[in-house]
Amino acid sequence: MTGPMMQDPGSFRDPANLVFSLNGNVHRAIFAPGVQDYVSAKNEGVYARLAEAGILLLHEEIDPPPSAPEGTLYCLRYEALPMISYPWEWSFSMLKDAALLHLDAMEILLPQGFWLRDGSAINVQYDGRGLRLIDTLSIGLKKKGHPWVAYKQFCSHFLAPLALAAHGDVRTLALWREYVDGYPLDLAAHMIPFPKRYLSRLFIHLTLHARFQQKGWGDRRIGTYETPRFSESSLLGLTRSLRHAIAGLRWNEHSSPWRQYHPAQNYGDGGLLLKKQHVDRIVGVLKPKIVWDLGGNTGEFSTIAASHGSFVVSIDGDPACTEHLYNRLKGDLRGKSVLPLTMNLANPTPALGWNEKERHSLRARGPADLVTALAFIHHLVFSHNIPLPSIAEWLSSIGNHVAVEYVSENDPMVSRFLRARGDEHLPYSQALFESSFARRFSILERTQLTASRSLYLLARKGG
Amino acid sequence: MSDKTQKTRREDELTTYFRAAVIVTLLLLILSKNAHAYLDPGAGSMFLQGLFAAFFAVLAYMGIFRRRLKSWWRHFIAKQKE
Repeated sequence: MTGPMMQDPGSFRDPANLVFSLNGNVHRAIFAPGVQDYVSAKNEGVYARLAEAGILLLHEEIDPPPSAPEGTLYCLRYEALPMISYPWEWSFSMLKDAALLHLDAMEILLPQGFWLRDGSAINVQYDGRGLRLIDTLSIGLKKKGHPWVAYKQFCSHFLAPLALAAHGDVRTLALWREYVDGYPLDLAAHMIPFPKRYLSRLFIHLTLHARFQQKGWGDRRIGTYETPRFSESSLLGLTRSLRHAIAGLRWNEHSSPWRQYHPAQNYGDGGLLLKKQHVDRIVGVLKPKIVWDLGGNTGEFSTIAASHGSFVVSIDGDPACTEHLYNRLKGDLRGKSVLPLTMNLANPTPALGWNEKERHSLRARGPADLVTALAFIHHLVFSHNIPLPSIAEWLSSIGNHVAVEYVSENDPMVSRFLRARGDEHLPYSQALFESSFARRFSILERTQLTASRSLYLLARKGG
Repeated sequence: MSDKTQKTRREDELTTYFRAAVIVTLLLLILSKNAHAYLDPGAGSMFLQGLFAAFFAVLAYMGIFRRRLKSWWRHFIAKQKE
């Protein structure tokens, strides 16, 4: 019994291949224009070498199934990733690592006579252990004597956003949502403070590159260069130069306005230990494969969930939190499957791209087996004026089980928060909370953490 | 002898200034605004790479040279310690 073949709505640009899902697995169909690249790379052992280096997502070549798209000559099967994420949701360092992953691949590929045909951030995903290049067919045979075909794309997808975030403001990473095909280089060059755009590391690849984009330089000259001389050494030097530029970009999370940031300050001390024990117990009992931790902060509870083997997506609106968590995953949290994503949950990622189907909304990537919303929903009510019934409805659309903390108005943290904002706010009480959630969920348990905080475990009705 | 050395130094300095002036003029030419129509931005990226092909090649060779030097130095230090 086989399920229907579903073409990935984001896979249509490359005539050499397309991605489709079948029976819970992801497949790549390779058509005639991609055969030479695929067969050459396979025979040279390029895929194996990159997979061994932890750069490329592993695939298995299978006989094309009967439901494969017409014209499929080769078919690859991948294990489905637990969660697709997009560069507009990544932390600064995650985008930087994705850039370095491309350059690592290039340094391995060039001496073998191959290169990356794309320099797209969308081609990188987190598989629970690390970042991987997922587009097998982005590896192609190098055009002899030709400059890097993906140079502009690489600069638009990595160098421009990273330079802008490092030298301007990290919140500009949100521009990705508009520029889904990469930042316009001139935009980045203009927005980077004057002396820094002329820094040697950025000058050629960003500032000068932006000039060359605008003026049609190449069009006037390239016609006379039938075969531009660009040797393998030049390509290797270009890769090193880009690495030098990318590696030099650092976001100082302690710079304004993040100077006041302290990882633990938002939690308060009320029932923290009890809360940790209950989250640990709930995850231990439910054994969810995928957990979304909303308002995850620096991942205190995400890591508890991950210690039970769950793949945890830790979502927070504060880029300092996700950056902090991402960097811990390379240190003391190594081995835990946590994907930190920056997202204002009052404005979650919508469907984007061509036909509004190319890139998925947050909701379309769910539902998660368990959603945790700890000390979080009162922020939606008081800071964003979102009514409790609407929050309950939204949570029921993204999680099969929900562990949600109710923080009453009498809680010291909330009172302080309300005093600063004034007393006018949307209706908020435990009775309204319970009635709103009872419409969509069955209340499995309710635990009193402190006098003013309760933890509810809910199961979606009819889910 | 000393005068001659000073003269050579002066000539070197002049050569450096001349080179700098040429580079600055070239950059000004490159950076100056003109009214050419926007055609294909991809071609500009290719041309930019072509322009710096020799520079990138030198970078690559410098990388190889540096690695060799480092390896030789480590070898040398290890030998001294023996």
